[in-house]
Amino acid sequence: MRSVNKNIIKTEYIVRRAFTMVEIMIAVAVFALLFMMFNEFVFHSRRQAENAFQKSDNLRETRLALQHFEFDVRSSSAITNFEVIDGDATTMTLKHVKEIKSGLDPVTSDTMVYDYITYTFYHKDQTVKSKQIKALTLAKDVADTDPGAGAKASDKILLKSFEDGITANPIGVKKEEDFAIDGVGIVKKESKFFVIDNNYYVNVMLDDAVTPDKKEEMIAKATFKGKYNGSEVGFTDIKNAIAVWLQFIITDNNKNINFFDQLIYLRSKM
Amino acid sequence: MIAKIIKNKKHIINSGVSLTELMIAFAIFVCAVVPFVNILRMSGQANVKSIGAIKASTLALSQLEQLKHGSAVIEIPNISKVVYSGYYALQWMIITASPGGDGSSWAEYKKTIERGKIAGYPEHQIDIAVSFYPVKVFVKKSFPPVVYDTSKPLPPQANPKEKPEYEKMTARIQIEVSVKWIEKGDKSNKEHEFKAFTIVTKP
Repeated sequence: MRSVNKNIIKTEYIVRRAFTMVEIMIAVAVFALLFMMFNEFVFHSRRQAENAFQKSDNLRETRLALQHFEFDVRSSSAITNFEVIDGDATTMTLKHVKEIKSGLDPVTSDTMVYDYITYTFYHKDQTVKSKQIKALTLAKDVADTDPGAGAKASDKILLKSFEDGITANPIGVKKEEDFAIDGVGIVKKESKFFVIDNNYYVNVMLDDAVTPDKKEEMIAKATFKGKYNGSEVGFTDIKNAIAVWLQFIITDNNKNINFFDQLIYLRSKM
Repeated sequence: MIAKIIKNKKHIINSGVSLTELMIAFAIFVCAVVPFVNILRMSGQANVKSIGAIKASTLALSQLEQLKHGSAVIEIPNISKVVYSGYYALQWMIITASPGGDGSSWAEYKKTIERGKIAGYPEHQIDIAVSFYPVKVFVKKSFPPVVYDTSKPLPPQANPKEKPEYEKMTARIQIEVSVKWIEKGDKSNKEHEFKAFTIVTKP
């Protein structure tokens, strides 16, 4: 009898198409852990970058608006009107050199053509020339004739109000903010512009022996219709005005706070 | 008899990726992405730097303006208050900085408004320097009323021939305003500086 030895090779293919559940769970857990660490790293940087972009946009936009203001003050020959209407608006009109025409001045054969620039900073919501204007908006108007007392600007909005709506308007003016000063404490600053005369004493302002309260009193004394502790201390003749002081607190939807503090002298008074 | 020896041969085919492979892939991905994230962070830092610079220029120009056109009040007991503006206000600041007031030499007026002392600008420091131009410190000379008198010996303290040059030096006042700041969050504490300079001439 012949013995037949047949080797039958049975090949079995076991196809593992993907991970096992355990592998997936470990992978997910490791990925989640790494992602948590990585996420903070990536998105924190992204948030920081966005915040920084916002800050610089905020600064540039404001700086540009205030540069327009600064240029107009510098190139003006006089401040014809300045009024602080309590709870309503601060408004100022500048007599501004528009152009020089030849032929009319008997001495120089020139004549100056002026226009009048009005700046208004609104303290509350109101309708001006059928335009709805929010509180804390800085607006500008230009006219060929002096608009006179009480004129308010509404044509061009230089700085928008932060109260205008955070989504629609991420950058705007804030009413007031507390700032810390070493050795003094918290100082409240508010957004405003005001006019000063020659009684702004720079040597006194730089003197460390003079207290901040005294310095504030001195600024009030140099301010047109200035007030200090409720009483009138400033000058009253607008012809004595020599400079405009801008103080604006700008903020955005990231709550970045920037304080602009700039003193601009009229060239015509130098 | 046929002896059947059945050999079972198993082939395991892994068509997915192993955990090790996955982790290596993720590590490579992280290595590839990290530089981009750093770029993002760098751009953020660059912007923060530009904010500091814009603030510094605002401060410097405003301070320069105050010095150029501000007034100096001089209060001497029993004498009425005197107010000087422009060049004369700056000259008064130099006089107060000079040894003994109107003493033997002209000095430079220096003032630092330290970090934390400026409302709204906690990272900034202002350094002010006011002096005659171009020489900051020099001996104060007094000239005889007559420019040149041959009948009298020349006073030892001044040579009249030097007067025009001396007067030129005292006719111009330079103002230097330097604003220094350290970026918030900059671990290296690197100090940045913005300088503004102007000259005020005697009217």
